[in-house]
Amino acid sequence: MTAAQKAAWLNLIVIASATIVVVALYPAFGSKAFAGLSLLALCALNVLFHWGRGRRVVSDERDEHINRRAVVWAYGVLWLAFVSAALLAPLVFGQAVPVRVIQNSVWVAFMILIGVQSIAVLVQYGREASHAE
Amino acid sequence: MPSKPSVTNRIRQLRFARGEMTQQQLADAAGVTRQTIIALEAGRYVPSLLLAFRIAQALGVGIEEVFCFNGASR
Repeated sequence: MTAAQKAAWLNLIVIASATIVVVALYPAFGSKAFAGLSLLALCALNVLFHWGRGRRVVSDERDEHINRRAVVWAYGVLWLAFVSAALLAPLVFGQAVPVRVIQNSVWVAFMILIGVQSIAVLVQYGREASHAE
Repeated sequence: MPSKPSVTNRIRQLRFARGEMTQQQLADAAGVTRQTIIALEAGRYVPSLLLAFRIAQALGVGIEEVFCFNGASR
């Protein structure tokens, strides 16, 4: 498993954990449960996977290509989600969108961006899983 | 209908010709990850010119012995 794959799995686990914590705490704590989204800071731990180990190469040009394509996919999905949210918000909330929704949308955007990027990275590496010795 | 141009390689054959060189040994010599060597051998990745030269150098042969360009038919 490459460093990028490990980082992608960590991101997905952190996003899933943060979502579960918020959903679990929301009935008891209401909007304070969104503090659980601070768990997303754990995504920063993926730098540990990119630290060099001896002389062995951790990532190369192919990893950069895969990551670049994954970022394009992630920003594409984020843009679609942003436009959809902008169109749907007035229908759901009327002319007064709550500030809390705007604030939390930043976290949701972060989760979409990192989540889609991580999935795209894993999908691209998954296509090349065979032929190893 | 013109076929898609592709680049094939003989990395696997040349590795075995060089005393059963492992994918990891070639990866270390070429400065890439083992997964990239796996992808190259499977024909799922076309390397940059720089990496192609590095792989050829690591295998001790010329670049034209490793990679072959199959141009699009007209």
